[in-house]
Amino acid sequence: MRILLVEDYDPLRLAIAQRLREEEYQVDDTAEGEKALSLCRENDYALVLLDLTLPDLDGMEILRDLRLRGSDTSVLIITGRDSVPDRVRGLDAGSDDYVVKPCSLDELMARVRTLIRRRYGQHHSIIQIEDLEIDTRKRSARRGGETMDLTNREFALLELLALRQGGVVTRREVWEQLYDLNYEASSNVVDVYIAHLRKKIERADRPKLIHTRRGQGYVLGLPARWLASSALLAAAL
Amino acid sequence: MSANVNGTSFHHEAFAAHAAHELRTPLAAMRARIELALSRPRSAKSYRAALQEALAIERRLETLVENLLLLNRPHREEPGFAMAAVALTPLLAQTWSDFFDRAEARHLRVSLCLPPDGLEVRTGKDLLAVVLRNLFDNAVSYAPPGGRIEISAAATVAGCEISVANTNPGLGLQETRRVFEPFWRAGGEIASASHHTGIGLTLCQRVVGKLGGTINVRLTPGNLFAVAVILPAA
Repeated sequence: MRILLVEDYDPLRLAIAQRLREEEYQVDDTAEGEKALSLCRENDYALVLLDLTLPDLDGMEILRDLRLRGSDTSVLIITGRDSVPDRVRGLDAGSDDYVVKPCSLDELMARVRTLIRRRYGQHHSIIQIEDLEIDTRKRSARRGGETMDLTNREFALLELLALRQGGVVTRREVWEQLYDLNYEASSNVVDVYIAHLRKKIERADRPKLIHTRRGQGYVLGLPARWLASSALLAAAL
Repeated sequence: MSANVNGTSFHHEAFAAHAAHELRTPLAAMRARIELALSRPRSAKSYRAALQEALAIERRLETLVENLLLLNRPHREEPGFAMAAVALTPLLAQTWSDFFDRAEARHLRVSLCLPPDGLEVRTGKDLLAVVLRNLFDNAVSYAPPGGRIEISAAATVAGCEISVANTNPGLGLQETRRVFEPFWRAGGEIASASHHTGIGLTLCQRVVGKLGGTINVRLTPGNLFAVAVILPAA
């Protein structure tokens, strides 16, 4: 998942960014509000971690700009402003969470996981699709009870598909969520990773789970319309 | 409710909120840095780097706390306020020695123009040292790498003038008018590259006022940002 971190105090920004990267998130980070504004306009972030006191503008302007443009990117405000009116203003302006500094990194990571899950309508850290179980907290996956050996990037791809289970995830979306600004890759890198993931997930004796929608993208699990037709069929029978 | 810091009015509540924010951010960074180091087994080199970063953050906190305490101390409790004859050249040279290594590391060209025959003022030595440390710290931090710092002291008709100037990192005229505002920092790269909290010059203004002097800033034709402290004659 791709996250934008906006914090002007270098030591804090670097520490949070490193922890996020160690948790296998793709992170773009900036100390400047104007840069953050343009990054938000150019990219579809799963989450923005936003400090409010920035050297060039108030972080609230970035939040307002996101919401005015109808963006559903989750926003977690992390700030030294602790008054109740500040918290109310932040939440009312459309932030999804509000954390006062200093805070525990473990707690911050838990909030990050929660907000990302919620963005995709998931409320539990374990996602079950058929006999495939994905633990987003432990970052592990099992199929039919058998643990799969996935690389970090493969797990990130599986997690993205799982969070959108039954829905089409476009190649562009995969690209945007799995690669940060520092990454330069060939255009078929998404297809290559999908192929790797298929090799590790699919079993000859089990239903196929990763489907390609030509010209659209990829679906993990049974597509919604298939489930709907199955339900209709079951009702008719 | 409002307070007055040498002509700069601001609300106590706003000041307290700013101060709390300025304290929370380095505290958050120190906590994050230590927790990050402890979150998984790492090499000895990583732990060393984490400790060095935590120490650097602690220095910022120390300076900030000292400055906040000084700024909020009732005047009668001001330390070092006993007026005495102070030889400026050794005070300047000795205070600068603490910043020598940092200036070297940033490849700054430094010129000290101090009167060889000595220059004596009647002032509060410890308070003047606080001012000098803040000015030197600013100069070393804000001069771009490879830039210049010019420190000078000279007798004037009114008393003496101490000037600390550094290559302008990009301040405009409008911005120089705000440098004494509490918690004001220049925007963009200037702020993000520094560890400063924006009360150093506020403190200097107050302390210089207590010493009966004045402080002003200007941009020179040679692209220097210069701070001048004018102290009255003994």
